Amino acid sequence: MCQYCVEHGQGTKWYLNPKNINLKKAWEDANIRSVMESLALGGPKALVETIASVNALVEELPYSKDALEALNKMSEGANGGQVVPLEDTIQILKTPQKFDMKIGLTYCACRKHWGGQNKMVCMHFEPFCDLLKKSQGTLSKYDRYITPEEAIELCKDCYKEGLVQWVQWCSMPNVIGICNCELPYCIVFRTRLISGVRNAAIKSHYIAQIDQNKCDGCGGSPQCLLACNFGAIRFSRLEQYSVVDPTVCFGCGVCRERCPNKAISLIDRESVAVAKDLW
Amino acid sequence: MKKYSIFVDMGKCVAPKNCDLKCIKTCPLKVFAYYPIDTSREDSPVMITATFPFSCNGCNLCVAACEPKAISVSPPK
Repeated sequence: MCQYCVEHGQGTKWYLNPKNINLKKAWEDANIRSVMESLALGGPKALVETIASVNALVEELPYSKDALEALNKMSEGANGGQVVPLEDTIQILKTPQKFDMKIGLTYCACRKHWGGQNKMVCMHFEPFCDLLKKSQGTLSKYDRYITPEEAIELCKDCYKEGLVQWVQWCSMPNVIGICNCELPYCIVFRTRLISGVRNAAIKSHYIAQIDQNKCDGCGGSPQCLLACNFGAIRFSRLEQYSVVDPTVCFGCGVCRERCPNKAISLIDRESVAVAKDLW
Repeated sequence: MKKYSIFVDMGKCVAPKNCDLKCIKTCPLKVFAYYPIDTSREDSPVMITATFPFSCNGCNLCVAACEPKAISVSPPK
């Protein structure tokens, strides 16, 4: 369990606790509402310019330890996210209907504004999705509500494609939505990997593990390695099998999905000594 | 680790109509981003910004791709 599960999970993972998925209720809190509004209503301009200005201000990397701690702390009251495997995604997506909340599908801002590509794979819950639509203007022409079943099917398809699911919070621990991410577009993964800001994309509660008996190295073209966004897979040329580096692995599980031999499984991060504190 | 200096001259930029956002699509590291200045118009002019200068490796593909030569890249000092 990460620190947020301990603090907000009430016996389960913070993003699986149904209390934390009641965005309509969170909306009633003026502070949380104002965070949602500033995230949504700024629109693409605010998103792009915020990232640009933060990176313009910083003259040199890496950030200091104090700076990173301050940024992570700040994100708790604002926005951040955590990587989740498909099974957790599915559980999250079954929750909004309990509170009579719709799920809004929209275009992925990262792929659109950083790649000029339109991919409808980003989901948010009511009332945030409605707010977002207002600020998107003509960009929202394909936005629509989807049923939980459609949302789950979409995530399953994305997972097969190799996209990583990421659950976003708005003022921890309120779950605001799920995106299907990939590098080099995803701004939160890049903020995590380049600037080292952990709370942009906290690693998942899992680590991938490869069963060497089942791995045949895909004849020298390892599908898991090709799928991994994070460079966590190494290929042993001498042994012709793939190995997961647990210090890099984000535990998203896309490698597991892509393995033709079903040689990969996700195990608890806490069961791997070198990985258990590497969030 | 210092960053490249990337400057986009919006006076020369003709995006999005006349260039198909070549800088955005060509950059392998996705340094650039764009947004429509007026979200209520489909044909709104756009703003192009170098958002991840630390990702830039100085390949200069963007400089070559931009026809009006609106982009300049210089290495860290």
